[in-house]
Amino acid sequence: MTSNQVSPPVEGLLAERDQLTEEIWVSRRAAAIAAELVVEQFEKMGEVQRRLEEKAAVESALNALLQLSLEDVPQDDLLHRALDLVLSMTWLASRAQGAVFLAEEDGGGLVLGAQRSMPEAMQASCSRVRLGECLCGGAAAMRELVFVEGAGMPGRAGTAPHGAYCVPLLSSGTLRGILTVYVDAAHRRDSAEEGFLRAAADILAGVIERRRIVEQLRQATRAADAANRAKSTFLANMSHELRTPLNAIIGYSEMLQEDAEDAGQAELVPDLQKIQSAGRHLLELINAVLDLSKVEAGRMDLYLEEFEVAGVIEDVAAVVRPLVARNANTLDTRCDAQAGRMIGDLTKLRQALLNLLSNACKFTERGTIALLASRAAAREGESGDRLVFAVRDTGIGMTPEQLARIFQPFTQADAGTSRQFGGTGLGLTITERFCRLMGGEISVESAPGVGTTFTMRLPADVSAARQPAARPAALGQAPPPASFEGGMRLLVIDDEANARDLMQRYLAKEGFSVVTAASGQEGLQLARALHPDAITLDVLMPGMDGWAVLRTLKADARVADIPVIMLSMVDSQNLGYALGAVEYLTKPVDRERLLAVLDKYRRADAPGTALVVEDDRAVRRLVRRRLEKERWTVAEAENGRVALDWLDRHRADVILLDLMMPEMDGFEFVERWRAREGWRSTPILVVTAKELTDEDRLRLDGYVQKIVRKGGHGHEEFMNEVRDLVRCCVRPRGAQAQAEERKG
Amino acid sequence: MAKILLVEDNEMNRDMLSRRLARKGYDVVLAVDGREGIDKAVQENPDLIVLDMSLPVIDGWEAARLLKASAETRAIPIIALTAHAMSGDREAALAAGCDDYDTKPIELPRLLDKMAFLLSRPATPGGV
Repeated sequence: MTSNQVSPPVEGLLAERDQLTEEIWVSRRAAAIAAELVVEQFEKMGEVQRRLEEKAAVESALNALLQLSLEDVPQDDLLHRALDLVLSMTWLASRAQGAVFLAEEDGGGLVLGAQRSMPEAMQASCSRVRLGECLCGGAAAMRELVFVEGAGMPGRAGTAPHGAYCVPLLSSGTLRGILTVYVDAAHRRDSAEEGFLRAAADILAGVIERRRIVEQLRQATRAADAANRAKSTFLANMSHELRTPLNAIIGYSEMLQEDAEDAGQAELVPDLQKIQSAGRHLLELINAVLDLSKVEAGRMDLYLEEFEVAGVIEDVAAVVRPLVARNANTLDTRCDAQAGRMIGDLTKLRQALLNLLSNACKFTERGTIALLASRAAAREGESGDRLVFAVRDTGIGMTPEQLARIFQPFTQADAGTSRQFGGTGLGLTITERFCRLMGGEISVESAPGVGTTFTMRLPADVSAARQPAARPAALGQAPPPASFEGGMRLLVIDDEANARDLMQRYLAKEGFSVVTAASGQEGLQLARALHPDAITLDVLMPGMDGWAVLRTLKADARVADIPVIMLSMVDSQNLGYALGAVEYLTKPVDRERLLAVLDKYRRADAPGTALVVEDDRAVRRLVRRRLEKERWTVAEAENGRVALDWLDRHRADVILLDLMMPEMDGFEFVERWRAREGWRSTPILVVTAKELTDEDRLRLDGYVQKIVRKGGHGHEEFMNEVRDLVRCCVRPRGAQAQAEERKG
Repeated sequence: MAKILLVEDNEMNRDMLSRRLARKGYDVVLAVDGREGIDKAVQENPDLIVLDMSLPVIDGWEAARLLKASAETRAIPIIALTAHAMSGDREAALAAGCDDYDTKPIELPRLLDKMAFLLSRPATPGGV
């Protein structure tokens, strides 16, 4: 046997070996490929992970920026912290170099607002950058994001080679500054990064704009305050200067009268009296103008003290008695035993009563003048007892036209009145202002030839009544009712009285029930107390601004679900939405747009509109009140024709129909209504006291959902029946109503 | 007869009021500003001071505080003459230590009533 001879079994083994080697090789290759695939897979997963992490980092940085933008810190501090937040992104952190520039008011250039890790030489050369100059100035001039790769930019003013992003800070298209961040020299432009930088720039622009406007407002307020103070000082000095010579005129004419009488020259006395009375009239005018201007300027203070009402009435009556006697009038004073004590401004109350009484004396001859005081319980919207002071005369009275102008300054009933009756024409104006100042009101009733009654209704405790209206600016306003009446319930938060008034009047006309708040704090209180269907919120308010109010609302579970519509002169939509506002409208508010927005939330939340067709006013009222409790919007019509007219212009979700009505009864209404297109979508509930005949039923059959008999049982049961029928006949629109229905 | 110190800077008002008070039988001493008013109050020891509030050198508010802070003059009643009632001067005058106030232009009978009341008050050791 030679060594190179291979026996058949060995050959088999060798073949087997080769086979195995082959297999091993194949499987090793497969393993390598598999491993490669696994590695690739892992890399992909790592990429996904990284992307997710990046996204989370972007979101958390933007959130932190938003939070920061609401903090009440100096602007420098805020810009530095904002810049640090931006630079904390991983792709910026290795350098952490950047700056925020602020645009100058005249638009001529940029000034350095904040920087991090910039070389000192650079800080000095960039402290002011002209528009178009350098990279930042270029981005500012173009108002576009600029990216420069490191390779294309030599290190300047002591910096190592780097790339940079320059992002303009734009607010409503106006340049407010530039955000500059440096990147590594080899860094490539990336759209995700740009997105982040643009979002951060938006937030920064919003903050800068907001602070700019707040500062402008502050300056304007300061200037207005200074002007107001100057006016008050001028008036005070002026009135003093005018009074001094008047003192002499009045005083010497009085002395001369005494002298003339002593010297037996009585014929001189009437002329001297004329000088004296003209002087006194002039003095009254000066005093009244001063008082009025002080009230108007908000500089009339109240001196509150506690006193017995009966004492004031006695006191005032004693003062006015000679005046009453002059025109052969009689004075009748009555003070209820319950009138008790008042905490108020005694001087102003006396002055107000004297004004009303002297007015009554002037316009009454051989008649009666009555002075009445009583205590009354608080009405809706008032807190605490009221004291009611009435001054009634049987004088010449006034026409409705005269009544309409009665509290306006310098308007007496007619120009001749002043000559005939004297007086300043300011007494009633001042009286009305004093009443409002004390948190009360004055009203007047009069008929020509019959007489006039002025009624003052004042808080028994002025100090308590004044507390909710903490700001003196609110004192001039009649206190708004702090409760809703019907319709969609809307809370308007705005510090500006005119804006509140406009919104209230406009929206009330559109069927909304509006309650207003003059400050953020008040708004929050009312939101919690009344839980309105929606809130409109002004952004720029002194003290607690709209952003802070919005944040507080959204952090409070009790009110977080109320949709908030932000109203602002500044366009910062993104910030509004980020903080949870549902809509963002810019001022001046477009009314149609506001209505459309409100309508959206009305439809989403409220069950809908019910039209109550009924000739009996009392029944209409009852039905309305009950349905409104269920948050329906209710419209009323007193007969079929009025209902059809209303339906021409509006949509009802359900109609409650009486049958027996004048002009157009329920039967005719149903006939006409069903002839119209689209009538089928509106369910009709007939609510009637009529015993229906078969013929009646036939006429209505198929067209009405349900017939309810009224008068068959008690009010409450009837009303509940109506409510339940309305609930199940009408498919509720909102999820809330559905849930209620299921519960029911 | 009681001695009245009238502190008033306006010549006509000073002349008029002093003559009218003299006619009613008062012994009237005059001062033209707050500083002189305080000096005269010490020298003359009047029974009552009629003090205008807007005075040069030392104004009436400050003069009233000084007069009421000094043991020598504390007991002398002061009637402040202020601009007019509505402006809050009344409270300020009483806060400055005045015993009463009246408004200009003077209604003599009313001022005389106030003077008579303060002069008849028993706790006035400064009386002659």
